[in-house]
Amino acid sequence: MAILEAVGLTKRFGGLVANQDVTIKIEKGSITAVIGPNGAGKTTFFNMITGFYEPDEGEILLAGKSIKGLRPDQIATRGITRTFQNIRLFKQMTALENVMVGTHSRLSAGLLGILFNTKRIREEEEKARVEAYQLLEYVGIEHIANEAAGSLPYGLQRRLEIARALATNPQIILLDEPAAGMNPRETVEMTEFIRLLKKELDLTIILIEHDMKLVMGLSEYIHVLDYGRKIAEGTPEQIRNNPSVIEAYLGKSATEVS
Amino acid sequence: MANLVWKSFKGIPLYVTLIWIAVFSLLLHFLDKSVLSFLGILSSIVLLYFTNTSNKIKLAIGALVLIVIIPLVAGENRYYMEVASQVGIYVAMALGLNIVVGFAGLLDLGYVAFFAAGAYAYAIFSTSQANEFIAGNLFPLSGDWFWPFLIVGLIVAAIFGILLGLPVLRVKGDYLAIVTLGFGEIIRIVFNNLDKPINITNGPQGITPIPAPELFGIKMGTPFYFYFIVLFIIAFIVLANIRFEHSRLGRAWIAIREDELAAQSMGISLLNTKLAAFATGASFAGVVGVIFAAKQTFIDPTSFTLMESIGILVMVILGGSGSIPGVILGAAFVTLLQVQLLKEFSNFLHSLQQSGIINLPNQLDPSKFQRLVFGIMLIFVALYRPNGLIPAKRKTNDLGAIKSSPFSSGKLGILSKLSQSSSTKQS
Repeated sequence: MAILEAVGLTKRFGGLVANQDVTIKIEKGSITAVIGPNGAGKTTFFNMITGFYEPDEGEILLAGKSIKGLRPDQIATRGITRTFQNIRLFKQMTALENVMVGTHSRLSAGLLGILFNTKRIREEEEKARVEAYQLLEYVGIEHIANEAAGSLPYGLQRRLEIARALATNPQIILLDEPAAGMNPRETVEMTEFIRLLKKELDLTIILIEHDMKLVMGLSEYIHVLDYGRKIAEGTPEQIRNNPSVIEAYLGKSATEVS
Repeated sequence: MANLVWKSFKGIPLYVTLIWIAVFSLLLHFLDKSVLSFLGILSSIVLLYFTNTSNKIKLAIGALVLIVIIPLVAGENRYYMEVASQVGIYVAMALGLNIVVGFAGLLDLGYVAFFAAGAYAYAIFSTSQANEFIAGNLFPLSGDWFWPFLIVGLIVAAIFGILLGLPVLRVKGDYLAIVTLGFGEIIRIVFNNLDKPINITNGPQGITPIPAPELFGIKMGTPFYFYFIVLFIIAFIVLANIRFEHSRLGRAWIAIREDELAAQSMGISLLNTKLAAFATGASFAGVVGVIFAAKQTFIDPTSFTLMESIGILVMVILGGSGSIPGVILGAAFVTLLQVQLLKEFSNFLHSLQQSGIINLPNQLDPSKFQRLVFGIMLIFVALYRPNGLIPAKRKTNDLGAIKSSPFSSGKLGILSKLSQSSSTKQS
């Protein structure tokens, strides 16, 4: 069953058509990759799914219900979360607090409750803190729980961002270039980790990635965008041999040569 | 190298702080008009902050200095108590603005409007002014009403905050600064002109005589009483600030300040969270406004100019945006500079002039250089301490306490799926 359906999404910025009539169905519990050359509209697609852009045309269905036109925070509370291409952490906060922010919409403390520091609020806070710590353990960075997020090395920031996304208790997680800037060993680790996320936490994973080894090894299904249009979809095997994909990546003469 | 020295610095030994407090309180007691010893005793609070001892002891000594020692040695002197309560009023306001600017990162240049709202709320209803537009000759109210009006001022300012926030918070950054500046000015001009067609604020003539607070028949019109009222309000605002800082809401504010996009994708509603910051900050200013009106016994729109807003913003930035001790220090420092240091220095030069030692043209009077001094101070802070005098610092969580928490026994949140899948595997 498709958990997420994007039907005929179109987004224009002035004269530029960033996404045109993109239809993508995501199966529950799958790992799906969205690939394409630079400027193909992958991140625009992510931004429409997560509510940062409203599509000009088309429909987005989460488990059959429309989420089009909702604000990003409303979509996040409905179970779609994301990481960003250029890591966006709350730099001044500690790693633990970053993850605690992710629990925001599941906590209930309001102005007065916080002011009077009621027992319920204290318990809720403690629980959020424990949960955040467990998530740091899960991604393997609990030793830096009290460090400021901005001071962490790059690889740890990536993990922290995933831990923070997991704290929103999502069904679907969108990873925008999770292995960008990583060395081959780190990339392998990240691949294993994403697989683990799917298996252990029952997550549906959608990722944008340029590292073809990662994409081909990890994803079960691939959608290819080029100039804002979807040009192909299929299993890694099918995509590898698809002439229009090769053309989009390598240019026209490449297909002629092969 | 300098950094190394700073890191190995464990804090001032406790006895140094205690001797400091003792010496300056004795000095202040015996030398009746010694400004220096008064400043000395106020700065003992800063010293105390850097003292190497537990927080409980610091709190106890701090309370002792503020509640017992200062009133005891300076209580007879109206002027000192006046200065101390004025410092307190600005500290309280700066702490309110700290929530908006420091935590939520919303640059608000019209903050004084909320202060005005609180002040006018009490001024209008505690004098015969309200008779102008409410029939029945019910007013003026007695000073007993001061206390409930602290709450009224809070609510009125919070409502102002939400009403202003709704349209204004759609813009961000520099635009927000300009729009709040405009709104602040609009409020002041409205108060200035609301004497016709219906006379609500009495326009530029201002409102007087605003009654002093009264409790069980005691009139609390002297700076001595205001000192304690302000102290009480500061205690409340500091407590609120501390609780907010490390709460769900405080984290959301800081998350928005750090990165709006990421905050939204964590499920934080931008508008609601920003409105909460605006309303909270405004409500503190409203309470302080009520005290201000009662203390001055007279208010008019000139007390609520743009310069006031900027002055409070300077306190927050100078002290350390988002840092509670920093903001308190910044506010105290700027206010003292404004009301005491420069004036004292002027007086000193005047006395030299009178005795014929120097010849000082009137234009060079130091008390006229207030803004110049502010400007120079800000430049130095921006260059050498860009995060303020006491930079904001996030609390480190006690990881041991987290591990030993009763909640740690099971996996929480999304990780609860982990134990389910492993238990099904075992069976």
